Amino acid sequence: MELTSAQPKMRIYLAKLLANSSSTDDVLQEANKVIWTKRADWDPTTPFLKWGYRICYFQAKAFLRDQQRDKLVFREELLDLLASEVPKEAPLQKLEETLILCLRKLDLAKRKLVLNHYDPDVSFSSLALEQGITPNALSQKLRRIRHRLRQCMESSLSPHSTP
Amino acid sequence: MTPAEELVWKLVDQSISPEEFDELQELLEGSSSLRRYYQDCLETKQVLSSIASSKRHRSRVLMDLSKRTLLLSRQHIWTGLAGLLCGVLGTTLVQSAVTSKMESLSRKVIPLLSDPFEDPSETSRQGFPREKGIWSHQRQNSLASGGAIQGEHALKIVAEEGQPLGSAYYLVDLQDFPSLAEFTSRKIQVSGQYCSDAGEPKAHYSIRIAAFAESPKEVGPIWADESELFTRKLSHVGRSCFKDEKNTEWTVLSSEMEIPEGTRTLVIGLGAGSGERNGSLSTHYLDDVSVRLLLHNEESAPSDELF
Repeated sequence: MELTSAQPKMRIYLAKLLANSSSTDDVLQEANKVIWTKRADWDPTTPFLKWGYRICYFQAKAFLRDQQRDKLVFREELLDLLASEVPKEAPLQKLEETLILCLRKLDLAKRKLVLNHYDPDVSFSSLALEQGITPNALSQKLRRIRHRLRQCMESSLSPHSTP
Repeated sequence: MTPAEELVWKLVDQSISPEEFDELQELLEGSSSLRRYYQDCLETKQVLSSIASSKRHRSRVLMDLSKRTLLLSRQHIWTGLAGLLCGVLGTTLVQSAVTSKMESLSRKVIPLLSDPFEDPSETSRQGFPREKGIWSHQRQNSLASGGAIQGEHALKIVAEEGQPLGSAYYLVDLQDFPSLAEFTSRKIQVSGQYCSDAGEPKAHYSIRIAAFAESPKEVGPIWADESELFTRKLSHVGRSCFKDEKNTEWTVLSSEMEIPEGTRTLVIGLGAGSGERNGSLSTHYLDDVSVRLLLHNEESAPSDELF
């Protein structure tokens, strides 16, 4: 149960260490196997995620050792720096609710664009064609929208945001 | 967006070149705020994927504009029918009827609670409520020293020695109000009247409202743990006023809060006390508490668009 609910957070943590490599899910699966094998080692009086992050860290290092030829791999110093900065503990459900509120502040066309971008059945090129812009221009447009969404989330989740 | 932030998004989108990647590594090593931004972007991407893959979430994101369209369509139909039926002379009368009809469609007030505290035998359990619809804490109905605002009794709130406030809590479960989803703007409004025992040098009165995604039973443990409360609350407002010893009249205090999307439980806390951490035991009264939901549909495009 703990392992299931920890999956989204562990995935974000691994994606951070692996420079958002397309192998993130493979490493997560490896980490899950290790967690399952070593489940008896977890002290239930301590936070499960903290233990899970530690195992993810070692799995990420093992993966990166095997991927030395890949140019897009973080240097070890940066990897350790990123690993030491533990993500904040806002529950995924709260992040979803906040992001939905922020999305609803966009006009309808932009909401549809962002959601379609994350729809696995919609290709990036068809989305650009539908928008009547080049893929490069679409990338920039999506970056701007998501940057603003991130700003909106940050201000909504800030402790000073409540009246 | 700064060039460094642009590079982060390129990494998140897996469209970064090796040269840009090297540049970003340097920047990330030298900036904790950029590392935080990188973490946040990955988080945003993950949550967006989760929302996009959920039919329920997708419909919620795209929901309110389609409702506005429906509302406007109804308005157009009514107006058209009115014109056909009554002709030019009747138009003014019918238009006002249409406006009134639309007004009732777009605004609604649901009274949740109006408590004059007139049942002196009614007491409640100590601590935070475990279920909706009942008052809790150290309340007991009692005759107010200066006469109650409504009837003969008021709610007595005792602030224990060393406690800045004594509070009475009430939980509202929004699952009991499915029609809320039909409205784009949903507020809760709370008001109450406070007074203090003669001789209390000064008093601090407060109203707190907080929203949670959890059920009423699950909110208690969150409320008791400050760090959990900080991260789990969807929204929170607090309003206070102070009274000096010269003022012996009842004091009216009210507060309201926009109810965020995803709210299941609303916590209402009405507090009174000296307001000081080392305060002595003090007695206060609360009467004429009213709680309402104010619902509204905006027919025009949202004014707070991000772009």
